[in-house]
Amino acid sequence: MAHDDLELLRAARDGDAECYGTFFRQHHAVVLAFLARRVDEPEVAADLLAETFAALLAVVRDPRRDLPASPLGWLLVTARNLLIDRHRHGIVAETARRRFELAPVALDDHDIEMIVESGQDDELLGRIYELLPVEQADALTARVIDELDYPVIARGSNTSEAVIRKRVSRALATLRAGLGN
Amino acid sequence: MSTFIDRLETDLVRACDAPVATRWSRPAPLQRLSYRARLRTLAVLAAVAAVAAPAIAIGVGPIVRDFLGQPVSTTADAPPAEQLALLGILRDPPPGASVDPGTLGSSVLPEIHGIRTNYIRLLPSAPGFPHQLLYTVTSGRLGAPDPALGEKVPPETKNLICVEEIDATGGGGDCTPTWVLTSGLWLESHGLDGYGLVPDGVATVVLRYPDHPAQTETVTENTFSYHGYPAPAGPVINGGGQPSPGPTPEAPASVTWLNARGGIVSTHIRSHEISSHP
Repeated sequence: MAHDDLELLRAARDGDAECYGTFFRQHHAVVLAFLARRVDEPEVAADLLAETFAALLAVVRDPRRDLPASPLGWLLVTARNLLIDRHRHGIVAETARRRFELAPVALDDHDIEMIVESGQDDELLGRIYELLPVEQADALTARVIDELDYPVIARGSNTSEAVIRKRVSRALATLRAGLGN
Repeated sequence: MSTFIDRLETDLVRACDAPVATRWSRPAPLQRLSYRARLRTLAVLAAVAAVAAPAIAIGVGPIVRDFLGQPVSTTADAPPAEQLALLGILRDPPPGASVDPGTLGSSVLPEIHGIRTNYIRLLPSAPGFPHQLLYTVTSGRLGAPDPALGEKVPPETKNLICVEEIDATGGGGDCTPTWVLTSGLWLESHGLDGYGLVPDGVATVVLRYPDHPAQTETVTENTFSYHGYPAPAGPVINGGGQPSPGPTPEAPASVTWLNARGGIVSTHIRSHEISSHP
């Protein structure tokens, strides 16, 4: 059974749909935590989560498109872009969900509680610190999770902005190279 | 009891397993042009191509990808005169080794555009920095948008200088505006090992520290390296409240550039980020 992210996506592209389910189970918590920290409404976080994974599924289902080298990085960047679009337009995009005819996300009280908690717990941070050297994880969380500007991070770390940029870049490169291994 | 996560997973697996959708309408065919109209169109295209030929050839050359796997545009153009005048290692014929753009691998930053593929140089190696490439790009959106200015995306900066380390695990890089080079602030560290980039005319660099003796380093091909001192305050504390592993270097308080005759070119006070560069 494939465990590597890219292997899972390749298998899904080759017709093993369960592999996309496995990929979803491995990463939905990180993406949901990322989103739940940024929106006040659990329904919006759930919609963005569904659209993000549906967007990646559109890539997986299109053999003309390259699979992302860093699937988790792709998910987080896509989630962030969808979030920005939602702020701009006031609604969550649903292009990918409509394409695949996904059912509208319906939340009960338990779901809402789970989303709220996912934005408060440290699962996302813990996962990143598991995967990365600590100085890279520090830089990445400050930049991507807390969305601090590079000069602010540099001052807080008593180092140069260039060093912080390099750590963020290396963190993402490490995620790309090492996830799933 | 199923959660919305369970339901979403079920839906995604079903969608992944479904036949490829065929309901997408094909784009309407282009209206057939008359013979005369086709001739006119060809003439216009030829004229545009003739004018456009000397322009920037974005997209030519080998495919370079960012670390998200997306292609990054490239150009066969030269860097601007300002950068060529500052960095001898960039000038043609290069004193440093030229590098195949494919060596960049797929680790470059996703926000940059227009890698100048004829001006990728291998920098002198140093402890902690064994395989670094220097290249320049036409533009990039680095940093973060400033909501106070109403920015939705990071502002675009033209003509960035990039340094990227290539290694078996993918490496990593950084791009900075040209002013970072001229301000004397272009320094990077890897543990206690440090590496710096300086413009032409700088032959020696003197690093002065608040709590340690000064260091004098020789410049080779616009670069210098040094082995720094541990910070007296100890390692920095990371976001998890734990001290970062490995030594944390003490930042130099100032960087002085000397020319080949030993004269002072400029002194850069790092703590206040003030440059005395002319």
